[in-house]
Amino acid sequence: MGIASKLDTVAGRFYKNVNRVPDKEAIWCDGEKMTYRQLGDFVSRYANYLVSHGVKRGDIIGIPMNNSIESVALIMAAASIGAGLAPINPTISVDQVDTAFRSGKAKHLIARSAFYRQIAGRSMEYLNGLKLCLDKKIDGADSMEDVKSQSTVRPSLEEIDGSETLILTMTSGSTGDPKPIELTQNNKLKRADAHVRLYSITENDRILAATPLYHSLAERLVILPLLIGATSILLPRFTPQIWMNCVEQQKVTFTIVVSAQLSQMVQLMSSPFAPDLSTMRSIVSSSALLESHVRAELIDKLRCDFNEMYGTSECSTITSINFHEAAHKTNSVGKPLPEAKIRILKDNDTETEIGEIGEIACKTELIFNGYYGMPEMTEKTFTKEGYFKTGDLGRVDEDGYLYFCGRKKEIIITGGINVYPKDVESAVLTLPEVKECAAFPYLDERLGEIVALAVVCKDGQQLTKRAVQFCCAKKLADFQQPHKVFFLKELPKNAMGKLTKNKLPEAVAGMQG
Amino acid sequence: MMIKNFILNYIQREYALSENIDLDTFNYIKTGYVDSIGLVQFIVTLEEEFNVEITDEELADERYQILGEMIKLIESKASAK
Repeated sequence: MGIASKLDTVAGRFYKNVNRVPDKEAIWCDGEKMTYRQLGDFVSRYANYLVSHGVKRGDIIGIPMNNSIESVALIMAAASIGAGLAPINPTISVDQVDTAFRSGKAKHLIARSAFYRQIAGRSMEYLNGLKLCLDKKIDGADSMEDVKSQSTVRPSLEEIDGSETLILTMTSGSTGDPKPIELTQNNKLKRADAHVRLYSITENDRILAATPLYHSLAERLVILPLLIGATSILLPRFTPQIWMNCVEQQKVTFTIVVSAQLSQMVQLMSSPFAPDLSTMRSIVSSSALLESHVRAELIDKLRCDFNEMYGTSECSTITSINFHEAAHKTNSVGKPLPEAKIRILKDNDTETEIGEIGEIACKTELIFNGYYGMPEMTEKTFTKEGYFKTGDLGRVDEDGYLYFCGRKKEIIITGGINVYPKDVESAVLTLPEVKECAAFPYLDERLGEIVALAVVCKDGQQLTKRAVQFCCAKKLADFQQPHKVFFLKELPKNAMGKLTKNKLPEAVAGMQG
Repeated sequence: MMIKNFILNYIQREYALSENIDLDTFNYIKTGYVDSIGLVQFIVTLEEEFNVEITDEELADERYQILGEMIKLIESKASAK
């Protein structure tokens, strides 16, 4: 049996909709749109191009991914032939790219010309497969003309059974070592189905993805509509005004946003000139807990279902709460999905009493496939009973509602993106003047948190904030840049000499960072 | 020309600008080409590349959200060195 006859795969479901509703709008992005028939043809051409240029089932394609119809077509084309993608943030440094692609065992590369310029002269011997340049004809790479010249007949290959890796979400991990989160096609299907049920999503929905496609949230939002015959609206760049205009003009009905985006939008919603958001029937806030006053304002201003969720890239959504149905639980992140069970654990992995704070652990059907190529690392993150330890702290009340209480692992969440302090510290420690340093979260009204850095110079050495920032601009991605740099004589430590990061905000209080 | 090209290349790391763009009116903040997360790296990269310093007052001035104005600002600072 060829894959064309198997329906319950990512590509199988997509092509079913191509045949069922060929003239329906499948996707809109930045003023460009495609029907299911047009997108189906594009996906087939892309898949034929990949196959004819040596991409095989199980291969990984590295891609600095932007939000575009080309990126979405590539996801579907990769699914169609059983290949996987390692999407990365296009602003990260060459060193970070190298580390990410090596850990994801990327063999092929699809990128824009700016990226090829950036890595010129760099030895990445493992990228010995296909090379495609998305925006220009350049030496040593194919161009989109080579994709467009392919057949629109869907390639028929050996059977794809859904166990294939589809996406490797790159995360550096709290120790600075890469931990690629592996999602198979089956993982993606289960997650899509769970969210369709949870938020009563139908093919009549117009679903907005407004976060970068190299993160799991936008991937979920953009793939889901194409699996059920709905319409995917993809926003290339975010500002609160662009988002609200897009909702009005594209008649968006459903979206999941990161809380930092909502915080930026609240003020605009009060304006008499604010775009009309009345087509929105349901909105979900994710990533970090909303501040209480922002949540209260949103519930008041959004005339639609308003939900908040808690989850991780490894587990997908774990809990969800609808504030119209559970108005008295506004500080909670909700109850577990039917697919998930949670436990609150003590340090010895035994369960806490009701109301007691501990580490949130989750057993869910939506669990990831593991950290790619790292079975031991994967095993370490689970309890003996198969609960994934999230590294977050929480408590559960007598009605089963979960309350988020902070993080056990070191992490800074800025604008919905995770920053691992170790990455920032490693970059700054390359400066010869630096004795020690510590990156930590600093509260910010717009982004929730920003990266702050405390630096201690070696005796007799001096540094300026600009010198530190120059170093970071070269070695780190845009979201990892320290917005505040504080110079201290010493870092706060306990009696054992261990750094006490929670004392850093106090240590820098009153200082101009 | 070198400064203009550097800035245009930087802005287009993720998304291409349309060919008929008017640099004298194009606002790189309001169009999301540089967002609040990316602004620090953008400014610091320009400062280092051209050995100039952009003051907090200049950063707060909405005029310099216009790409053409930012290019002129860096050009004038670099030529004064």
